[in-house]
Amino acid sequence: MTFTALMLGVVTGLAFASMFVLISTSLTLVVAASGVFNFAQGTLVMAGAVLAYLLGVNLGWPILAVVAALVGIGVLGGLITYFVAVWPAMGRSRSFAHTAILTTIGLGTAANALVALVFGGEAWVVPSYVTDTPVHAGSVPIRPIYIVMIVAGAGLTILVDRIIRRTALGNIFRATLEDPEGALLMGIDTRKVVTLSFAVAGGLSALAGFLMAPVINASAYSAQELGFLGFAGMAIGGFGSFPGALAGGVIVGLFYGIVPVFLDPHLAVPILWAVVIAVLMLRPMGLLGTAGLFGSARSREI
Amino acid sequence: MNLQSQEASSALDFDVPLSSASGRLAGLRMSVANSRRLGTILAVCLLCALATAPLLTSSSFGLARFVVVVAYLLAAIALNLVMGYAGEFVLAHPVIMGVAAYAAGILDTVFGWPAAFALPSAVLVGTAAGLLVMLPGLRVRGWYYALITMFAVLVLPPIVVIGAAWTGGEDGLSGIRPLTLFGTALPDWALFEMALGMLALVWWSLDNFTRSGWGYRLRALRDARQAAEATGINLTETRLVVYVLTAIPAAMAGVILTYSSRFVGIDAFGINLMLMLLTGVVLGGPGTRWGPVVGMAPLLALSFWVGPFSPYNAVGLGVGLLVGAIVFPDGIMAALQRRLLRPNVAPIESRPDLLELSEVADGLRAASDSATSPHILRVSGVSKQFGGHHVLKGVEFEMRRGAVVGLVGPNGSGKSTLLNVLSSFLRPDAGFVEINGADTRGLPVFKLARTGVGRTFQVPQLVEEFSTIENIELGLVAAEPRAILSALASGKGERRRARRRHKQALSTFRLIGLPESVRNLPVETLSLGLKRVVEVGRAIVGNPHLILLDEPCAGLNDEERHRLGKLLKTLQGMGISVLVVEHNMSFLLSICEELVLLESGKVTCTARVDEPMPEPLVAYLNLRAPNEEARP
Repeated sequence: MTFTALMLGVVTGLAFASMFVLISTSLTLVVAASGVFNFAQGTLVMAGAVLAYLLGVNLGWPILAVVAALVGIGVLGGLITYFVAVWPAMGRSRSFAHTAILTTIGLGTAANALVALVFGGEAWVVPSYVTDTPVHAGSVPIRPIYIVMIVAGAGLTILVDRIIRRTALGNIFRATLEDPEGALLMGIDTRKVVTLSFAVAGGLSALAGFLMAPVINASAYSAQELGFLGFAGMAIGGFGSFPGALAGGVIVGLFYGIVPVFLDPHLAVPILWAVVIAVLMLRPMGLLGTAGLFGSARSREI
Repeated sequence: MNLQSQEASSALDFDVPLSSASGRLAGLRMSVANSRRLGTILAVCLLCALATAPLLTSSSFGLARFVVVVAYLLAAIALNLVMGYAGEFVLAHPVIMGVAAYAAGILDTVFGWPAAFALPSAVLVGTAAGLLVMLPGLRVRGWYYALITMFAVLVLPPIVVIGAAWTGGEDGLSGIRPLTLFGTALPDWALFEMALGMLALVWWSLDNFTRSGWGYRLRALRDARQAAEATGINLTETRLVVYVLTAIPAAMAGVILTYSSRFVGIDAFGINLMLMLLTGVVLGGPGTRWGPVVGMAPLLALSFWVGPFSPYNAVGLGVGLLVGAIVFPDGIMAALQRRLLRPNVAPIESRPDLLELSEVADGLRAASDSATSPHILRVSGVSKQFGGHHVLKGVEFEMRRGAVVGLVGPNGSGKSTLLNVLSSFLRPDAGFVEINGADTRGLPVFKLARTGVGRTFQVPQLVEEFSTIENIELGLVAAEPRAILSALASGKGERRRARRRHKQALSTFRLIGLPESVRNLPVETLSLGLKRVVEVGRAIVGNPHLILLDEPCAGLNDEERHRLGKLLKTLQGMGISVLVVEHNMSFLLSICEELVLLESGKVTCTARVDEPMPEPLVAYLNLRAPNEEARP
């Protein structure tokens, strides 16, 4: 029984983990390209979940149309974040990263509140996209939606990682971040790179929200917690490292899935917070992070 | 802001002979002093106006909303201290307020403590919780720190739910008795006036604090962290002091809210409150006296208008933060002050007034001669590697007490790394450094600095908003006693220290030969060359035995270089040993007795300049000669 309960927790945890990895990856993408931690990312995850309800359940759109629409809106949201909160802050103050924290917090909050105003603040229940009859693996009943989440999350993460590895994108990110002027001189359109990272991250986040919608009862107020969980994965795994985002996301997911099995479910967030602090105190750059971003030798304080 | 902190020193201005330029500045300073006085008068007026609130509203609900205003202002002023002045990105003030509020409520309802004990205990509990949440800041930096403190706000609600037996869980904690002091229940208006009194006290004392020696420490922590350590400031201690001082008013705010509404609910201490405080401080102007008040005013007005729990609040806050951070990157107050106070000064090129150095040199005490070792500095087998890259490979050299020694070598030979090892910023992998006969291994930077080692940096590290003289004063605060209470109350001791600080900095200012006209200008208006000279001033003001200069000539013109050379000779005459890393050979040859050549991590040659040069040094100089600019 305990073993079954533990395994249930592990499966639930892995399902969440695949989503947190997705969110951490999109946060990392933006950090990697621009050095900005986008506080508004949680809003886009929430938007994905809310749209899954509004379009899929309320309007009854077919699932593919819903996915296409919310990915498009996620991309748009990412672009809006860049053009409204990040780009205008550049060169306006002594510390760009500092200002960008404030502007993205501002934008995220305003957007969350607007969603609450327009669509109401209640939690929406989205029915599972696949059958709810559990699949049995030995004695462990597994909800099929969890399998969908794990497969989709892992697939997307691998895809992003492949694209970055295969193309010169990793190096371009590094060059753009470390020495924007130098990168410009090398013929890299740094602005395009940064814009692209915001767009892709937006799409990925919305998709994560969509995939999670059947299991989290999303509301306009869940953005902060989702943003926190994505951040926790990134912080534990490592600063600006994609393998780090993966490892961190899995750790966060497992905690999130297993803690409620044995302890008061309300303890999940406090425990995660304590874990993040413990990791950062021991290794301020996270488990797999290096002093600089993307394994660069030069450390820079952001 | 930069000019505010000079009031304490203004008493001394008149013994300075005023040139025409500083005459103009004296006029400006008067207006600054006036604006400060005006600010104080306005603050008193504002508080008096607020004090009449009980006359405007008779309902206890209406009055409770004014108490909320006071509590939020308290918290914003607390946030401004840690974020605005000290530059620490702490976003956990709702947690401090919430814990204190719950502590007050629980001590009253569960334990039945009388308010006279419960009130201070709750403030204590809130402060302790705040310290716990902020503690990672001793190690974690930047937005990682912002995030973990901000997400602490998400951690409080589940904990409150878990402790429902005491906290009332999601329903909130009610049944708190009215505040009773000395046997009489306080009427609502008295509670409000008491809260207002606390606000006045906190605002006044924190303003004093930021203008005291601690104010220098805080701004150095924010703007020039390494320089702060190199002048002997203990950053960990400074951080802890700021954490405690920012937590106390926030905890007071929480306790006030509990006794005012006689109810504690978790919704009041959520992320929206953090946002309001953050927006208020950022919008108003972080690191200014009026910033949090000016910034909070529109937000509080909005909350009055749409109601505290309306979603329009969050929209307004979010947009306010977004627009405020972009339009007023330094806040409304900074923009106002730029308009009203600062004259349009173009960056000033140096035209040093040629003062006779020896006249002022005796203003400084000569370094002590009670030395045990004939060598001020002994470097023995120092090695340092980064990853697989061996930067220093067994560096050996000695430096005689009272000498001026030049450290030369090609780029990448490890000069800056060596300087960082000497000043303890880096720990050598092998070997050791002896300064004044004492092994420096394991000594933190600030402790080494206090033994009498000063240094400058390749990129000058200064508090940009501070004036030249204030930046020099920065070199003195580390040696002062902590005296936190005196700083908060602007007591006699603090004022005496401020006068002494100013006097000593003034004689150093004259010694280093900066033009009188830049004395009270913010250093951000100075040229790079002058900033380097200011750094030298900060390094020597505390009478070190040894100073380490990292490329002091870069960016100086011939005239300035000449004066710097003369200054270093004067310092030598006062018994200060000087180690200078520099590429400009003619400068080095004119001031040094000895040159140390560092090549790929090793000292390849040491030579006295008055003797024939050994082979490696000649080779290095020949190599460099074509690159050097022509020199008289």
